[in-house]
Amino acid sequence: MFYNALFSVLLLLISAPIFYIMMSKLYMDDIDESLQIEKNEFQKKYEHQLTKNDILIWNKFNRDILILKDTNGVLKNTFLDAILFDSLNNESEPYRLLYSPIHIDGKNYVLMTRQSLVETEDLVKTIAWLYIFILASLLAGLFIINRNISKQIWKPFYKTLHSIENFSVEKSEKQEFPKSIIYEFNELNTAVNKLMVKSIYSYQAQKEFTENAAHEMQTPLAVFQSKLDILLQNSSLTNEQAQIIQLLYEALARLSRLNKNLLLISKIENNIFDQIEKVNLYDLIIKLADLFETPLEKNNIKFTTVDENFMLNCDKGLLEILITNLLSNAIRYHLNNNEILISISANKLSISNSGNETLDNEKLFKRFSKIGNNTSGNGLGLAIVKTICLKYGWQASYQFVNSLHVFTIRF
Amino acid sequence: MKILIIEDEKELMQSMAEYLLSENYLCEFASNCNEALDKILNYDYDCILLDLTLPDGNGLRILEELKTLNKQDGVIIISAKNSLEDKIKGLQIGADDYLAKPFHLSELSARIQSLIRRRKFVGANQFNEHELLIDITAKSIYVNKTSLNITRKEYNLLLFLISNKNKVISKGALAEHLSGDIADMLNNHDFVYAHIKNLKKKLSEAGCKDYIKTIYGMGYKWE
Repeated sequence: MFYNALFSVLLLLISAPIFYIMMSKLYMDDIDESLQIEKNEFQKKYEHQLTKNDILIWNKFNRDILILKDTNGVLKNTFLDAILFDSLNNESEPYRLLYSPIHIDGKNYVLMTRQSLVETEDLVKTIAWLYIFILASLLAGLFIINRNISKQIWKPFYKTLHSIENFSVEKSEKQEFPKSIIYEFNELNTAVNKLMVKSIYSYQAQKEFTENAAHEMQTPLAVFQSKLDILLQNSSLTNEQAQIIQLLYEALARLSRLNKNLLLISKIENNIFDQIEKVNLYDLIIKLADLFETPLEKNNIKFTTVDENFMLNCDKGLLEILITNLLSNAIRYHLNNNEILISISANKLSISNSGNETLDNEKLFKRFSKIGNNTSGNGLGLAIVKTICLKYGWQASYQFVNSLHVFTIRF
Repeated sequence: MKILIIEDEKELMQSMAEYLLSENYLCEFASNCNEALDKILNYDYDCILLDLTLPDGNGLRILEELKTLNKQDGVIIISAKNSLEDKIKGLQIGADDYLAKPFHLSELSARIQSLIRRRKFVGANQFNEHELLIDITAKSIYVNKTSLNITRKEYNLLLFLISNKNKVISKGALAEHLSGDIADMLNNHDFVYAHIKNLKKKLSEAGCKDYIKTIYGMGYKWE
């Protein structure tokens, strides 16, 4: 579009002087010819009739054909440009002159024929205006036409782009593309469509795999656990053996927790939880905080600002999981005896606990990303928080402010 | 007390049976739907432990059959799926409880007892244990006829211990029983120790003998 306009302007600008030169040359030739004709006419009609005495009278009645004395010895027809004073208009004007040698009464004279060039100036002006007008209309026309054409042409492209922007494998929505008359766009749409179908398929397969794998693991885990429970009843256990059993219990607990969380994530992603109801956030947190309270960790949960009437529309079970994960994280990692601060205000929930250094924001919400060398978590808690947020379009974020780890959910 | 265990995983079935037999239950087994249907048609059970994923079909079929037969057997669903949908559906069709795999045998035992107690008693539901009187309906404990002032968690803990009399219960099982899913989010299970300590203190102050034994520092037993 820009190049089109630039080319047009350049072409016009270059052509303007050429056009002008050509025009003025043609015009000049035309004038020269007419001067020649006048001179020829004079020679034919009057030259041989005139006498020396007639010269004065001739010059008196003719304005543009004058007989002058040959002072410079003009031997042949000579054209030249000159600025002459025009007594009629009382100003100097450009003229085209023709000096030709003539003979009157056997004496050499010079015949001067002249024509005003005032029209050439007008011509230039007219040409210039014409050019400006053409240039302006051309640019305006180009602009409008180009804009409309590109709008029309790129329409399917922007539609495709929009679809890609809105596409998410989690939602598994296939996008429909309208048929375009432009071959390239149809190709693009087909390719994008293929890509989408493929991604949806792989995502689905991955989800199913996770879910099936987690399910299949439950039964052997149950066998494992029940055998340990039986083994524990054995009265002839030595202290050492009991300690091994304890370690097995702990490993088993971690394994089944991991499995449970994997199942949970795939369930959230499979939209198993879709009982939308109105939930009071404050009441829910109070209820859950109570569950966390143990004789060892008492009353270290404190509310800073609270909007007691803040309601959310979501699955209550999921919200419970989200809060539980955030709370248990805060409880697990907070430094000794420091308070866990909770604030609910303006569509926002923040849970903060004390800490030493800022955590890697990038890794934090990813599955199985272990932060630091604490091994008590399984690296899925915050991933679950993120999955739940994604489902409802909430935003989970982390900040380290004033030696506090602050986890914020914007609803 | 007669229990029917419907479970296709042989090892798990054996563990359950062993634990329950030692608590003086009579156990019968079925490892698929048809076997199970055959049994429930011919006998009555106090409690049926029902796995939902069976080789020849969904265990919910058995629940439906029980309903059609108008049988009064108590049913605890034991499922690997732990899906809310199955749980709700099962409870709607007539199951009494739902236990997700993996589970502790002590938890299973406590659930069975609670189920049987609920079904047996109408109105006041009380039983004696040593010098204790446990009132299930009122959720209160009496030591020598004086009410014991204990928290809800301590009550649950005591009932759980008594339900698994003479059995070693692991700390993890206790923690899970007390806090449910939250148990595995807590850093450690020390809080179980704290609860046990408080409970012991309250019991001895009320004049109850110490029946809670610590085993290998990793579990507890009510004797």
